[in-house]
Parts: sequence; structure tokens; C-alpha cells
Amino acid sequence: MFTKLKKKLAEEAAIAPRPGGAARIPRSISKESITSVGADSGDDFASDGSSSRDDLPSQISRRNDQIRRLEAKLSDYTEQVRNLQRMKEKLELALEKHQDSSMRKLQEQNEMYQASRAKMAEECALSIEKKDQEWLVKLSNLEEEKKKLSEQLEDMKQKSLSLFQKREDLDELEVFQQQEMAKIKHMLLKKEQLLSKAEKDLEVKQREAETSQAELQDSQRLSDKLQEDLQQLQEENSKLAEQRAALVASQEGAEKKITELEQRLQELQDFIQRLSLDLQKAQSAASSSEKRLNEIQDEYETLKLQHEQLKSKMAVEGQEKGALIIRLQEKVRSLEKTLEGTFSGEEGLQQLLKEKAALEVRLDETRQQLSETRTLHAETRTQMESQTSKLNNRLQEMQDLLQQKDTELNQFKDESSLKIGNLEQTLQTIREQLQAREEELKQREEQITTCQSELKSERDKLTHQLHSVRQQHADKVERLEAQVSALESAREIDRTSAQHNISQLEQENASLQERNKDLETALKKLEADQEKMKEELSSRETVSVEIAKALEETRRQKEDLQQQVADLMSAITQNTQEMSLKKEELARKDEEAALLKGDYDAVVLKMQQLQSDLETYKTRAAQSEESAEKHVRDVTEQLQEQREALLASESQVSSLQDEVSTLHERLHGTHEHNGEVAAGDIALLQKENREMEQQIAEKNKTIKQLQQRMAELKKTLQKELRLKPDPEEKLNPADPPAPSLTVTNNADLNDSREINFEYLKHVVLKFMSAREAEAFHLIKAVSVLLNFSVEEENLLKETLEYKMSWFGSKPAPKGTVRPSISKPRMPWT
Amino acid sequence: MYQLNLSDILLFSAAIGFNVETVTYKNLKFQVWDLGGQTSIRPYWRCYYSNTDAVIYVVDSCDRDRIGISKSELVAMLEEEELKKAILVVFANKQDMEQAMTPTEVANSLGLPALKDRKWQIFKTSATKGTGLDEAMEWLVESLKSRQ
Repeated sequence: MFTKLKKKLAEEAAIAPRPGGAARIPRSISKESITSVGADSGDDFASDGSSSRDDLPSQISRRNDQIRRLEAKLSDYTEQVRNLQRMKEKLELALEKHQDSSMRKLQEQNEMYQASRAKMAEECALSIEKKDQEWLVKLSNLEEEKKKLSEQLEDMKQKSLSLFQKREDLDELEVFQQQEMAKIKHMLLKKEQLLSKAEKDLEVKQREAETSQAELQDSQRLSDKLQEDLQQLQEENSKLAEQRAALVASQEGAEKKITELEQRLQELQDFIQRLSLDLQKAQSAASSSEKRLNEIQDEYETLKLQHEQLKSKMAVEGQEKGALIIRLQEKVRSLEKTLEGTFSGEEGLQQLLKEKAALEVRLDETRQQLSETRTLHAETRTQMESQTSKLNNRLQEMQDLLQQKDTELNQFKDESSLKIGNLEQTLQTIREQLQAREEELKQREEQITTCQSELKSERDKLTHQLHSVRQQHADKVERLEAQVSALESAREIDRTSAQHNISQLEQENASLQERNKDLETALKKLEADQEKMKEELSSRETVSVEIAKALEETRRQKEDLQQQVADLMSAITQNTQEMSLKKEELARKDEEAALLKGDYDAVVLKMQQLQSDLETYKTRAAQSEESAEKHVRDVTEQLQEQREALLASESQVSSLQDEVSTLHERLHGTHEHNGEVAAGDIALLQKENREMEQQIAEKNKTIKQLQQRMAELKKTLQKELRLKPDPEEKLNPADPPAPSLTVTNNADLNDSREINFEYLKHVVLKFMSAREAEAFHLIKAVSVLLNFSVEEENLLKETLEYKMSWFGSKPAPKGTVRPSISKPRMPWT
Repeated sequence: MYQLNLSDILLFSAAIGFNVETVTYKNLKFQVWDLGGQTSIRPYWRCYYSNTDAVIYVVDSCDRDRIGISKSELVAMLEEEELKKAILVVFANKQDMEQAMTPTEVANSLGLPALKDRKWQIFKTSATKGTGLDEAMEWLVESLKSRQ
């Protein structure tokens, strides 16, 4: 692809300078083909002086040939010159004829002109007469018009009289108007008085409004106060609410207390129940103890009974024993009596004393028995008595206990009843207090509600009052405003009516004035008409003057035409002079051609030298295969130079040819003066010229052959070295590649393109990925691979420098860099 | 054939293209451009000539056929104006091969003795074994330092 690009570029570069030369060479060749047929001998050593001695004979022979050819050419030229002379004569004849004809034409034209002029004069005279007649008619018409106008004038005078009358009327009207104006003014004054009254009323009403506003303000103050009261009441309310909240809290506390007291009551009742239970138990114990007492009393009674029984027994026994004692004592007395009675008798007394002792023993015994029983009885009796006493003691104790417990119970009952009573009393008091507080609360709530209701009512009342007051005020204000507006409207109506009157009067005035103006304008119009008529008269007179002027102008034109004819004659003479001058110039150009011929010789020499150089290069190229590429490079460079030289020489040649051709053309003119000698020289020169051109063509051919050979050599070299493309082609994209070379290398280019593409890819990859310092080195490679222009490369460098440095601004692409991006390029594949 | 502008590396890549590496050797910082030696790439060598202090020219000592091309390439390269002051180091590579030319042979076939106005030295190296590189780098560092 690069190669293609390069090729394209190279071709463009190669083509660019050539078109001139390419166009010129064929021309020279064609001329050569025409003229070089008869070119033959001619000895010309002068131009050969500087060439080498060895080639002299050959050159001499060549020169002879050249000279022959040139001579032949010269003869041709002489023939041509003769032909041209004949032509010239013919042309001169034609010119004379033309001049004659033109002279004739001029005379004819002159005659024609004079005829036309006479005709014109006649026509003019006729037209003037006609116009005079017309003007006479017109004048008569105008006179008639004048008469009419005079009549009109009279009418106008009459009209002006009437106008004066109208003016008088107008004055009267104005007087009337003034009177009316005075009346209107009077009315206006009245209205103003009315207005002032209305304004006074207004002021009064405004004062009223102010007073009402003051009242309003008072009422607003009142309302403010009321609002303040309201606020206070609300504050009180809030305080009451707070108190209520406190009372509710205390109620709650009291209720809590009550509940606590009730709980205590319950506890106390429970205690009492327990106590009663204890009492019952104690009573039961008492009853049981009474029962026991009864039992003990029963036992005691039984014991008493036993005791009494024992006593009675004892008593019985005592009585018995007493009785016994008594009987025994009687028996003892009987026995003692008997013993006394038997004393005398001693047996009978001893028996009796024996019996008495037995009886006494027996009595002791009984007595003992008795004492024993008595002690026993006493003992039992004491025991019983102790028992009874014990029982009695116990009874007494029990009774004491009972009594104590009874007392205790009574005391406890009393205490508990007292406590209960107290508690109940406290409860009742608390309840009462609660009720009282609730009542108080209710009262306060009622108070609050009443207060709120009162407040609301008051507020409502106040708001009502306010609203009413406001409404009243608003009504008042509205009324006042309405009154004011009514008054104002009345005033305005009055004003408008007054204005209307005034405007009407003014309109009347204006209409009157307009009438006046109309009349004046009519007068002016009439006067203007008069003036216009006068102007028309004057303009018609001027028209007649202009016609006379036009006549004079036609005369002047005639004179101008005569002058033009004279000018044309002088121009013809000038042309003939110019022709002679140009002939002289031709002679000078011949001399220049001689000089140029010398230059051309030098160029030819150069060409020969270059040819020799080429030959030496050729031999060198054949010599060494290794150094062939280098040689090729040099040779191509030299070739380039040669080509450039060739181009230059060709251009010179072409310029020379141009000059020669120009000279050739002018030769026809100069033939008379220079004669056949100069023509011969020119022919010689032209021959040499053509020969040199031929030589150049030959050299070109040899150069091409050399290039082809070089290409072949390269090819063979590459084949030997297994080289694929020719790298130098890429390196020197500016050098125009030899056409044959590019043709032969086409097959290899595809490969190299691929490699180049891969290489390009790699380089671009590296360029993008490398550090800036490295990338900076790669710029050149990238720009070579992508065929960047110098500006594009510089842009790249600047951008990289910008990236590497801390400061500076981003460089903008300038010149041809940007357009080159959009320039169509060869596609990559 | 490989050419290195400055190198101690022997990571010679056969890839189409080149490698850039910055290597510090004996307090000298080398920016090494490993340019490929392929025929198609050779034309692009000249893109990298600017600001070059030294050229390391690596030659295949075994390739007797192409040593001539190597010579012509080297001569063409050394003619460049931008490399006028560059030191030349030639690596006679592949010395581990049996048929390898000796460094003197290589130097002669490259026409090194004919070089005037240029500091040059040849070293035998083996890229696969990594021998001969240190001496070469030593010499290069010394000659660069002495030039400064």
C-alpha cells in the first residue's frame, strides 16, 4: 500500500513538471519530421570548437550533415518567403482595394449625410412651420383660456366679495361664539361652585368617615381589650384547668387513700373477726370452764352431801355411841347402885366392878373407834374441804379469768368499735371531703364552662359587635365612597357636559374656521390656477426655445461625424507606421536568435557529458553486484539531475523553438529588409536546433535503457539475495521511481505491503504503548511508514513535547495538515 | 542478523518490529532499540538513527553466504550522517556453533579494519548461552564514559 501510495505520489511528481515538455517534444518531432527530410551537408566548425579532438572528424561530418539539412531548410524557407511575399503583395493590393472602397464608401456616406442633412433641414423647417402654426392655434386657444380665466377671475372676485360677506358672518359668529363662551364660562363657574359645595360635602363626609374611622379604632381598641380579657380569661381557664388537674390528682390521691383505708378496714374487720373467733373460743373455753365449774360444784355438792351424810352418820354414830355411853353410864350407875346395893355383898360388887372395867375398856375402845372415825372423818372432811377449797379456788380463778377475758373482750370490743367508728368516721369525712372536692370540681368545671360559654358569648358578641361595627363602618365608608363617587361622577358628568358643551362650541368654532379655511383655500386654488396658467404659458415658450436648441445640436452632430471620418484616416496612417516598426523588431529578434543558438550549443555539450557519465555508470553497474544497489541509487540521483537538466534544456529548447517560430512568423514581414542571407542563417539555426532535439531524444532513450538495465540488475540482485521488495523505493518516496522498475516489482510489492503493514502495526502499537521519551524517537518511524508530511511530523513532535512538558499550550494543526486527513488516499488493502 | 542501538539484552525477537527497553548498566542508563534485521524492515532502521551513541551490530557468524550483504548494510548504515559519531560494537554471534567464523574472520569480511574515524570493537557472543555479553558491555560502558 505504501508503495502504491509512493508510486502514485511519484507519478504525480513526475507528471507535474513534464506536461510542458511532453507537449513540446511532439511538436518538435513533428516539425522535425516535416523539415529534416532534406537536411544534408554543411561545414560548421565554429560550434564544435570545445568538443574533444578525437570526435572532431565525426562531428565535422555531423555538422556538415546539419549544414546540408539547414541549407535545404533555408531553400524551403526562401520559397516560403517568396510565397509570403506574393501573399503580401496580394494583401497590399487587397488593402489598396479596400482603401479605395472605403474612400468610396466614405464619399458616399458623406453625400448621403449631406443629403440627409438637407432633408433634415427641410424637415426641420417644415416641422417648425407646422409647430408655429400649432403654436398660433395654441396661442389663440390660450387667449381664449385667458378670457375664460379673466371671467373666472371676475367670478372669483365675486366669490371674494361673498367671502368677505362670509367673513363678516364669521365675525358675527365669532361674537356669538364669544357670547356663548361667556355663557359657558358662567355655567362652568356655577358648576365649579357646585363642585366646591360638593367638595365641601365631601370633606364633611370625609370628616364623618374619619370620626367613624376613629370610632372604628375605638371599637378595635375595645375589641383588643376584650381580646386581652379573653386572653386573661383563657389564662384563668388554663389556670383552672391546671387546678382541676391538681384536684383530679388529689382526688386520685384521696381515692387511693380511701382504697388504702378500705383495705385497712377490711384488715381490721378480718382482725375483728379473728378476735370474735378468739372470743368465741374464749367463750367456749369459759362455757367449758363453767361446765367444769358446774361439774366441780356438782362434785362439791356431792362431796358436801357425802360429808353431810358422813356427818349425819357420824352424828348418828355419835348419838348411838352417846346413847351407848349413856346406857353404859346408866348400866355403870345401875351397876354402881347394884354394887352399892350389893356392897354388902362384895362378890356381887367386884363382878360389877369387873363388868364396869370391861365396860370402861369397851368404852375406851369405842371411844377410840369414835376418835378414829372422827379423825378419819375429819381427814376426809379436810380433804374434801381442801378439795372444795381448791375447786373453789379454781372456780374463782376461772371466774377471774372469765371476768378478765370478758373485760378484755369488752375492752377489745370497745376499742375495735371505737377504731371502726373512728375509721368509719375518717372514711366518711374523706368521702365527704371527696364529695366536697368533687362538688368543688364540678362547680369549678361548671364555672369554667360557664366562663368559657360566657367568653364565647362575649367573644361572639364582641365579634358580632366588631363585625357589625365594621360593617357599619364599611357601610358608612361605602356610602361615603358612593356619595363621593356619585359626587365625583356628578362632577365628572358636569365636567363632561361642560366639556361637551365646550367641545361642541369648539367644534362649531372649528367648523366655522374650516369653512373659513375652505373658502380661503378655494381662493388660493383659484389664484394658483391663475399662476399655473401663467406658468404653462411660459413653459410653452421655453419648449419652443428648446426645439431651436435641438436644431443646433443636430448641426453639431453633423460636424462630429465629419471629425470622426478624419480620425479614421489618421488611424490608417498610424497602422502603416506600426507595421514598419514591427518589421524593425523582427530584425532585432533575429539577432537574439543568434545569441540563443550559442546557449543551445552549450546545453548540447552538457548533454554529451551526461551521456558519457551515464556510460561510465553503466559499466560500473555491470562491474560489481554487491555495490550495484548503491550505484543504482547514485545513478538514479544523477539521472534525476540529468533529467532536470534535460527538462531545463528542453524547456530552453522549447522556448527557443517558440522564439524561432515567432521569428519565423515575422520573417515574412522582414523578408524585404533582411533578404535571403538572414533567411539562410535562420534555416541553419533551425536545422541545428532540430538536430540537437534529435540528440536529446536519443539521450532520453539511452537513459531509459539504462534505467531498465538498472532495474533488471536490481531484480537479479534481489533474486540472488532472496530479497523481496526494493527498500529504497520506500525510503525515497520523493524520488520518482523508474516506470519499468515499478512494473517489474509489482509481484514483490504485495508481500512487502503485508510486511510493511505488520511492521506499521507493531510500530504504532509501540508508539502508543511506549513512554513519551521512547515515543518521541518513534515519531520518525511512524511518519516514514505513514508517509506523513513534514508538517504532520512536526505536529506529532509538538504534541509529544506538549505532553512531556508541564507547561505550554496544545499545538493546533496548521496549514495543510488538517486537509490532508480528508485527502483521499489509497485503501490499505 | 540483529541490530541494537544499545543493548545488553539478548531477547532477540524474531517478530516483525522492534523492542525498546531501558537498561541500567554500571550507572549508565541505556535506551536500547532492538531493531529487527529482516530485509523488509531494514529500510526503517534509519528512522531510529537520530541521537544514537552506539550501534550494536549482531552478526550471524555461521552465515557465510550473507556476510557480504551484512557488510554492505553496515557500510550503508555507517555512512549515515546521524551515526557519524556512534561507537560500533559488533557481536559475532552464534559462537557456540561448530562452523562459526572467528571474530577476526567476521571483522575482515565486514571490512571493519578499513573503518577510519570510528571507534569499534568486535566480540564473540552466544545468544543461547549468554556468553561474551558482559565484556562487550564493559567495553561499551568504558568507551562511552571515556568519550564524555
